[in-house]
Amino acid sequence: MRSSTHRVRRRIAFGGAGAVFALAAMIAISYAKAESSAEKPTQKIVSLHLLPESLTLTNARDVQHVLVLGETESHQRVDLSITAGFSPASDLVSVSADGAVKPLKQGQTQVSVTAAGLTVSLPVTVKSAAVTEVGFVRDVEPIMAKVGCNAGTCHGSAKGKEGFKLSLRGYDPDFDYEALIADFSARRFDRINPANSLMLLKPAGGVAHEGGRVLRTDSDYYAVIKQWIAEGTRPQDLAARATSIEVLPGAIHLAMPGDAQRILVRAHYRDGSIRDVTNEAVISSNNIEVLEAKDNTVKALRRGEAAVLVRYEGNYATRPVFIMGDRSGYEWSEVPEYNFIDAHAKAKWQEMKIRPSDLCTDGEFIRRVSLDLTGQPPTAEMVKVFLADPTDSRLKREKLVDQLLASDAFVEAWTNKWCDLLQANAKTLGSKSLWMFRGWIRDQLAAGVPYDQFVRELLLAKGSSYRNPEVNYYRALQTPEKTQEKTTEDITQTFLGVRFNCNHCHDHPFERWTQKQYYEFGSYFASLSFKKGRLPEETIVYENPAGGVQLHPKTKAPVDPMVPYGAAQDFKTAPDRREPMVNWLTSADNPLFAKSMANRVWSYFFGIGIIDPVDDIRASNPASNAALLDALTADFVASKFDVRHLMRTIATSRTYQLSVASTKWNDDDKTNFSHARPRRLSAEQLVDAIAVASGYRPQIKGMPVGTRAVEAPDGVVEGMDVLGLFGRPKRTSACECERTTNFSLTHAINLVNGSTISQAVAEPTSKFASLASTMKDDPQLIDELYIAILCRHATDAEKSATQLGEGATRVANAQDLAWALMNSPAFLYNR
Amino acid sequence: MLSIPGLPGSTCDGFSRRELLRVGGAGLFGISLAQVLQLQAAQKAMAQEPGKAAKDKPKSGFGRAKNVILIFLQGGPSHLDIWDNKPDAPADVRGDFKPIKTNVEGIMLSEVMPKLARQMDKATLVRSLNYTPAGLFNHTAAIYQMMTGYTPDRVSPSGQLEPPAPNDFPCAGCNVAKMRPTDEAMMPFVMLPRPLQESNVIGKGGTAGFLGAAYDPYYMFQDPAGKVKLDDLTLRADVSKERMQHRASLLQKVNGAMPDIEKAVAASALDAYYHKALDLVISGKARNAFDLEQEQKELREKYGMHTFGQSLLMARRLIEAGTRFVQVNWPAVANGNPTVDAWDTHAANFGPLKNLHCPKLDSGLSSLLEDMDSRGLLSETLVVAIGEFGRAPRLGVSTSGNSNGKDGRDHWPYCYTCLVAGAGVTRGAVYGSSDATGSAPKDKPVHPIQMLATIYHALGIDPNTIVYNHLNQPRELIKAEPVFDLFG
Repeated sequence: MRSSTHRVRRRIAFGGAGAVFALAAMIAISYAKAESSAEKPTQKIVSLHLLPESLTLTNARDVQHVLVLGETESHQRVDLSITAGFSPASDLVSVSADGAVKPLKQGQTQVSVTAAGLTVSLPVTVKSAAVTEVGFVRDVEPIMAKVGCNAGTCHGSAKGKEGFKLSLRGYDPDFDYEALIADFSARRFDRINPANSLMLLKPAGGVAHEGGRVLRTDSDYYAVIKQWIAEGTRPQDLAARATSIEVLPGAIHLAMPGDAQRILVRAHYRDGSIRDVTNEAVISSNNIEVLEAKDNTVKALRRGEAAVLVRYEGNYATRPVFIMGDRSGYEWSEVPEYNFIDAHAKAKWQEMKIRPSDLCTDGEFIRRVSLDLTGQPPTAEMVKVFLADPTDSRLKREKLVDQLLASDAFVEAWTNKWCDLLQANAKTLGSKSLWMFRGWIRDQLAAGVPYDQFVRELLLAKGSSYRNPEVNYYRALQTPEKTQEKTTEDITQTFLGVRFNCNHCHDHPFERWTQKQYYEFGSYFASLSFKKGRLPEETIVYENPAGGVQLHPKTKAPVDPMVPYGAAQDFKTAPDRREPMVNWLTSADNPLFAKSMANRVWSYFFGIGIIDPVDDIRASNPASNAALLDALTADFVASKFDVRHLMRTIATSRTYQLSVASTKWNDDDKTNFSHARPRRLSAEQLVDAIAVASGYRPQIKGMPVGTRAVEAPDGVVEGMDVLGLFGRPKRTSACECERTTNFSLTHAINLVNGSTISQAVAEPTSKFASLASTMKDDPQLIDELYIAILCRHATDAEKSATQLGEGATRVANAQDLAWALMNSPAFLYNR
Repeated sequence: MLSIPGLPGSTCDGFSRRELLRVGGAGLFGISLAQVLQLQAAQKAMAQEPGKAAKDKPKSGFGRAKNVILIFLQGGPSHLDIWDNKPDAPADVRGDFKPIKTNVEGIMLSEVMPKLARQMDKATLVRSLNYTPAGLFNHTAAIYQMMTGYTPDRVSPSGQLEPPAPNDFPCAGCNVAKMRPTDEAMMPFVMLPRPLQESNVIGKGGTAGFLGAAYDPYYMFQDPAGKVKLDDLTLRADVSKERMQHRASLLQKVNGAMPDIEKAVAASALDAYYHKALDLVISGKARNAFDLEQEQKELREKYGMHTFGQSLLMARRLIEAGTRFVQVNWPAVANGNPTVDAWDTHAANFGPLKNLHCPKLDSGLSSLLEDMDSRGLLSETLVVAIGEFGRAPRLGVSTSGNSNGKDGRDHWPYCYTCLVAGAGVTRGAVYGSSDATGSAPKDKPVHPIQMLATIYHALGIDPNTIVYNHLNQPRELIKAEPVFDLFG
């Protein structure tokens, strides 16, 4: 096409001659050496396993493969599918060199499979070897997807190609059938001489085709389409589509970079039949640096974890892949378990040959857990008491967690967080409603209202924005044009962790969500209405029975409310149109409600979710430790959605209490929680931490003196630009990403020279000047500064590293040291 | 430890020995010193290979630019209604606007760009930009390719837009910040007034990616058209330069005693940022560059008292102060509301263009060209104004899967226009042309990433340069030829 006329060099790295590539190749080799072990120990194969263990073939086109796995002495499974030899015991089936088992005659037989000197038997049942009719949905459509007819760059593009349009990747077989049959040229199908049909001539290169030659005349695909034409290009009911896919093997362990595993994709149909669709399925890797997926095989590139993603005809599946790499010298060293979290984390460490870091110190713990639970570090006094407490460390840490969970500071910090998630901002709600809404949220958290009940009240809210402040959530989701869309997308993202925005305009290309589901979910809010109340700026939220029609944007037909998975009560029998959805959403049986919350809360303590991003749960974004997340979810549900219980479980786990200091055995671990991950303080934490450390608290406009940053009611805080700079969200989005936590030059300039730290250092009311003049002993003063700012004692080396001098110099030096401590990553990060 | 990015002593490929060493140590699995030396030797051999040097050097325009202003019109402005009217096309293609004469004989611009029409003698229009998207058809995929030169396989591998990641390809400004560090204590790469954005994905295609956070663009996080606060860049009364230096040395000492934490936060490039921040604050140069109050009121108004116009004026000041690369992004979210401020005119293409967007583009761009030229800056600064795609020739037709209003234009990467000026680029010219409906180039097709190659080339950076990613794999800086013929 046009692109060929560009002067863009479409060279593939390593692919050409010349100096550049000589260099490239050399680096590739040396690099490969660096990461795979020089000599690979070949382990003896002690047994063979077949996946699946037997085959049932139902018609002449039903050709299937098996995977041949060898098990070593150390119970590792190695893929031998490519090297295995197959010999059928009878002429009922034939087997090709690559292991394709093809039916010839009806009956039962065996195929012996030989690999690594061992032989096992594969039972094969041929129910029929007859040629059956070709189905458009089941047979033709997958071929069109495979050869790329309906790709986004070809006929699947939104306006088709050369006057012929198909649905993108074949998501709408009915549409595609109509498109094919609507043949004005009358040349697309020639039933008498099928090979003369444009549907074959075009892709096989018999006539000019812009898309080139994509089908060989001697291929099976060609034969299938030819047969379909000869049989009269009959339509097929959508029910003939595959209902699910099975991917083998279930989990893939590869020992070394370079190791490969063949994948088998089997489609299941409503009539109970199973077909090998490996060749027609799309197989890809979610981490192209760790795992390469090509045709039916995945190959390890380097140590790490990945998922292989498989899609076929609207069905999706993923399988985890673990690549060990060279771990010679690794030995597991037993660590205690404080609760079930540790058991699941440990299982994963052992699986990936990781060793966790040591426990953090008591000083690190009190700072970390105070920031996580209450949004602020402990005071110097609290640190001293905690460090001096002779109680067993594990016990005193648990006690501290309970104290913090019971504190007002806890309620304030999490009220702030929920104001983010529920988009409580004055611009949309008005100042008075914002205050009322914030107060409502605060009351729920203070009273420990269970999470399911909290969400239930929120989503069934109606009435006055002043008397029933929870209605303000729906008001926050109001936009001039797109209230229903925002409500649909934000509720699914906030309470299920699912993003429903791709399927607003079309079926999600790679996930199960459809455009129909989007409008069905949105239909629950179709009669939600807003009107002015009697009081100034008061709004009444109500169900308007006269409303309640949701039209599908394409068909223009009314869409009845329906939940996107599972089942809910019929909306017609419900007193409130929203109620069946809310019952379904908040149910303990909803597989995503509790899970998404457990995962979200986890991320607040570890800086990364078990599924991450936490508000983007989908098949192609698998959990790093599914067993852990399942257990956490079950525990959360068993506690009757008690969020404090969930937080307590997490904060008292040993896994939470690990040090940030990584070791040789976990340096490269970013997803398995084997060491703490330093997290830059959030905007509010930073401001409040500086206030706690220095004793100087800048006043927030319109709030009483001493108000913490987390207590500011609105997202945008006038007169405190530092909050916006460090990422406090404006609260207009349901995405966790609205809060930013990055570090950049702008931040550094602010911390170095802006008022954020410098003012707290210089303020006469801050504690540094007075400490400097009252404490005459340098080591003692230095220690006091370390306790106040870094929540730990200074080491002897640190105590003697600086001379502070006397008088004004002493004050200035103490201020400068305080400045330096507050600019250190030990202060700027929760670690 | 504080490490100083971009130390002198660079190799021919623009990387210092020290940088190579740093990169070598930073990879997940690392490579040995011996391997680094080997690599360096190979790199040197490559650079000295006689054939290669002879082949590439004499091309025109190489090294003509000292600086770059990249005006990135995110959202995809309509080429047909701004740069390349088709008055003879059917009504549902040509739209509402008529072409007008410019101060260059034979070059027409849209009637909504009257001010630029009077500055056309300073620039070249490239009317034959085009590409076929690699599958994805959204803004971020196009922006990522436009900014990095690489295909958008990291934009949404699962169909979902992905936020910026540390393994992304670096955008052009970040590469330049690393390969052509500033001579002054200034930010090498400033992005104004806000990051790239589609929906809630911010900054994709606008980060240093695998080069490391230290080369990320500098953001002011303020609106240049508002009251800009410069306190952070102004040394405080109670802190002299000496005291600031004392604080810096204390900080180094404090951090040095906590190596575990330093190691744990290494990826955030705190050291590099602190080093630069101290430099900037102590020199005070940056503060002045951002201070638009120092400009004449008339000139500010000429650029336009809006975010876009004031960003362009600030870009000029930054270039004067020593910034190497300024990128001014169109201030609206790429897929924002077209009736308010976005170029993404799936609906209501004409009213907003005429009354809102084009007057801003027109006043800002024309003033920048005139102002830069009168100060002699245009001869050493390459100015490029470009979007991630143009818009569909036929009104109301869906090309991207989005629904479009009757008066809307969908995305159209198959043909569009950019403006380029300065640093030896031909004045008052058109390069390439489009067909009768602006659907495809008629001659001299240019892939938009060739404009990136042209930027590198103009800055004296060989587009063939090999860079190393986070896994130490060699990658071409860009896989495209510069458009040599743009230079007169």
